[in-house]
Amino acid sequence: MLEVCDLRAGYGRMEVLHGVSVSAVSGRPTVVMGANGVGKTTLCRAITGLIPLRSGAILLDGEDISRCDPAERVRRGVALVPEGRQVFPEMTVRENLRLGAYVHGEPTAAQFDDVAELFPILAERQGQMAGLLSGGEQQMLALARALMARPRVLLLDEPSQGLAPKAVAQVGQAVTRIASRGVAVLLVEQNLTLAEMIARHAVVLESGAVAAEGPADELLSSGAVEASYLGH
Amino acid sequence: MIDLFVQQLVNGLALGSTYALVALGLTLIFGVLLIPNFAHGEFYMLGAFLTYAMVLAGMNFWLAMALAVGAVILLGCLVDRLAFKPVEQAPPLSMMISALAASIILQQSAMLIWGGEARTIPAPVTGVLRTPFFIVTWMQLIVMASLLLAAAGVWLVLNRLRLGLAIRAVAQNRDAALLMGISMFQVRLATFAIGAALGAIAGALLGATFPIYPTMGVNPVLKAFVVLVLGGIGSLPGAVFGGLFLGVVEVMVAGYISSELSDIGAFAILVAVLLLRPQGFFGQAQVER
Amino acid sequence: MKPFSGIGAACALAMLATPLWADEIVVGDLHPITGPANFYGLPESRAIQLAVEEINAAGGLSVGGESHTFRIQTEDTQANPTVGVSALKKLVSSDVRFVIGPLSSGVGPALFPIIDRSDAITQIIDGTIAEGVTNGRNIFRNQATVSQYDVSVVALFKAKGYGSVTMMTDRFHAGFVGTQPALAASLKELGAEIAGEEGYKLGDTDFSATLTRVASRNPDVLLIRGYPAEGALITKQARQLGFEGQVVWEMVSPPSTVLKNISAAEMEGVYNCIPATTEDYIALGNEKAIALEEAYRARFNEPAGELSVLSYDAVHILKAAIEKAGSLENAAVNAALADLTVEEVPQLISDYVPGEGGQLFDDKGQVTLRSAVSVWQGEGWHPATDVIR
Ligand SMILES: Nc1ncnc2c1ncn2[C@@H]1O[C@H](COP(=O)(O)OP(=O)(O)O)[C@@H](O)[C@H]1O
Ligand SMILES: [Mg+2]
Repeated sequence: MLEVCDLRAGYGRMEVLHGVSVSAVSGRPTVVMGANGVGKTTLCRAITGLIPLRSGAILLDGEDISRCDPAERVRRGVALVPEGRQVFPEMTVRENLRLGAYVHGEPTAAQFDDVAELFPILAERQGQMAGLLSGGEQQMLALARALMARPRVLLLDEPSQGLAPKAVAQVGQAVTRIASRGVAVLLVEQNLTLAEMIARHAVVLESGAVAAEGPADELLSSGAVEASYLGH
Repeated sequence: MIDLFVQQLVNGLALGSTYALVALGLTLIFGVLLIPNFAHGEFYMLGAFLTYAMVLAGMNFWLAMALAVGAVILLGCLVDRLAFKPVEQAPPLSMMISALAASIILQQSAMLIWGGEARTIPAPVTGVLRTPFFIVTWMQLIVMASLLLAAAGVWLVLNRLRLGLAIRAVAQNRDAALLMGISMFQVRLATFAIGAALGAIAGALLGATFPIYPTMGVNPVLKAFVVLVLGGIGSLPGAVFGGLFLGVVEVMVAGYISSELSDIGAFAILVAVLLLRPQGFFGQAQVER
Repeated sequence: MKPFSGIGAACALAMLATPLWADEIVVGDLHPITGPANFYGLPESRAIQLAVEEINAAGGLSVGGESHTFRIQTEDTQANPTVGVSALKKLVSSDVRFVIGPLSSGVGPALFPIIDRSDAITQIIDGTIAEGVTNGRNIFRNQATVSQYDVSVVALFKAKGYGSVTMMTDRFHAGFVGTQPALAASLKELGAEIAGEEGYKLGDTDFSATLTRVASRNPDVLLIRGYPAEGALITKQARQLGFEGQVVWEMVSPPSTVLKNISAAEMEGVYNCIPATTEDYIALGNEKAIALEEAYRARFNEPAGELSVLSYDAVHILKAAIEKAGSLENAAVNAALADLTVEEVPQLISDYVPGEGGQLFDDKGQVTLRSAVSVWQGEGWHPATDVIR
């Protein structure tokens, strides 16, 4: 399980997160909600090591990984499906998947089979350039790519962004299946539908800090989230 | 007149190969790391001078070239550590200034060691190939062949090695590459090593054809930047075809219009190409990042 | 950019700090000590040093009964006009009133307007061949002009009766570009067809397009006017592209520089049309040239440069003029220079053609050097005695 304790992070002189604590536990998919610009992406970047922490700790099964470089965090089992998908556009689907497994060497045939089973469309298109896929397909690819790293904790940064409802539902199903295998899921979302579909636990961020927290079914229907989006 | 045309075409391809050979390393470093490596001209220059020094000391040309390439690879990695890595987070302008500084420091060091006088490396292969249609020196053929070998070599590294996969990933999306657990340290090192090696190979070979002097890299790098834009930024086939195209255009302008106009002609063509195809011959239309 | 300018400035400061001895005459030595033309400039500066040491050792100069010695203040022009002008300013601000130099057709014309307006500087040019940089009042030159180089070219064409020529000229060399129309006219008069006039620039490396055209027209002569690195490259590439005619150079070109860019075999038989250089005088058995060469070798452990004799001559010309004037005033020395005859300076090495009254300089302050043609044989230039004695 992943525990983020009292994390502070930001850019330059600006601190965005002022002591945030969240956790992702296997069997309890968690969603982090919050208005645009509140620092959700910043949180994902800090957890994966793309930006440094200013203080706090990131514990993976009790071990502090906040000093590790991004590669080491991936190796230990933290994978991110980044905001905006960020597939490698001029590489084939297969190459994107190989890169997902980069820290462990080349992926096994079983891993490819697993992806093919979860996302049949990717298996069909494995020779195609990722940049030519549709938005939904790219999102599947980003998800599959993260899976190739054999994560213990899977972070997803607004996977519903820019997707048609049907594609959102597909992503939701896939994530639920992944979660059911024992992967701890931490979803960052603004889309209530997807959040409700996946999460058992919810956290609301406001002004760079946790404003509310509780079981997803209660919190998401309580209006606390809408209130936070409207900024009061 | 027809055979004159064939001869001019061969002249152009020979000249273009030299441009392309220099542009390859530049486009690689720029494409992967977004570093406008002005010091590439000095990798080129040092490749030439180191080869020259060893050949003069009695060493076989090809051995000297191999050692020079090795030395320039080390230097390339050092330049990255000292000049570019420290300004990684700084605005692009700092990168430009750092690149210029590296370039000037290397030039001046060479000036102190070898002086400013022009000289030529004794060519390993002399003589010319005379065909009924054109004449070409063996050295020019070697340069053209080296261009093809170098381009093929780089292609193989990028497309057949795991390291190449990582390098391409960084070129396409640095953050996503980091998320894959790719070590930037390795990629930078490899990119600079390959880039510097390409520069040094170009320098050693062209130093056996053209005079070498400490500022010899300045012009080729300017031309290589033109090739970069012509061919499409970061595109290896673009560097090869852009270089050949530029060479042929320059020679045709000099050969059929006027030797005074060859530079102007080349830049006019550049502007024309960019008006018609802003992303260059092989560039992708800018993908949103 | 300028590796030595810091050191140069430090030296200049050090010199400013030392008191100027009343009996010391400071000679400003203005040459490219570093930079791309230092293979011309350094041997000039060193020849000045040798001449000054020789004169001082022999008791210096006697000016109006008092004895004086020379002291040198060297400033580096790097063959760059901007650097050259600031080097001159350094000399002026150190109150140096006699200047020998500079080299290079970029620097000479840049200094001319400054010195032309000054009545506190006397200049003897021992390097640049650019036209219009002397005035016969306070600026003199013991080097040839481009037109005098051209005289040698014309002499060669007259002797050989060539039927056609293509000229390839460094189009940023103001001297060569300026005299090209006149030269073309003279050659036409001799019956040579001008098959083409091509341009290139310093630092160009690929001449194949132009040379393909030249080779296809196949003129009797390819005349190259510029600097030796490009000269060597053009010669090499012309041969490779099948040009079989005579290659003629018109440039001061030290064999050491030439051989760094082309093999001796490829140079064999190339003519060079310039007044005699240090090497030529040595080859012709000129004893003063041989003595200078020996002193130079003993001191610097390498042979003297092409232009060393001119710099050596310039110091002796200055000495003779000062002694003749009997004064250190610029005006008096200028007048003495204008009047000086070749006979009054017995130490001169180069072969100057005296004017009507035996004068060294004409009314423009210009000497006439005997024209000469050399030919490349083996490892270097040799007087082409078959063309001109
Ligand atoms: N690279 C950056 N440099 C500076 N400020 C940034 C950067 N990225 C995001 N920010 C700022 O940090 C704050 C949080 O951004 P982000 O984490 O992207 O928000 P969210 O993902 O919740 O929409 C915003 O105010 C944003 O403007
Ligand atoms: Mg975001």
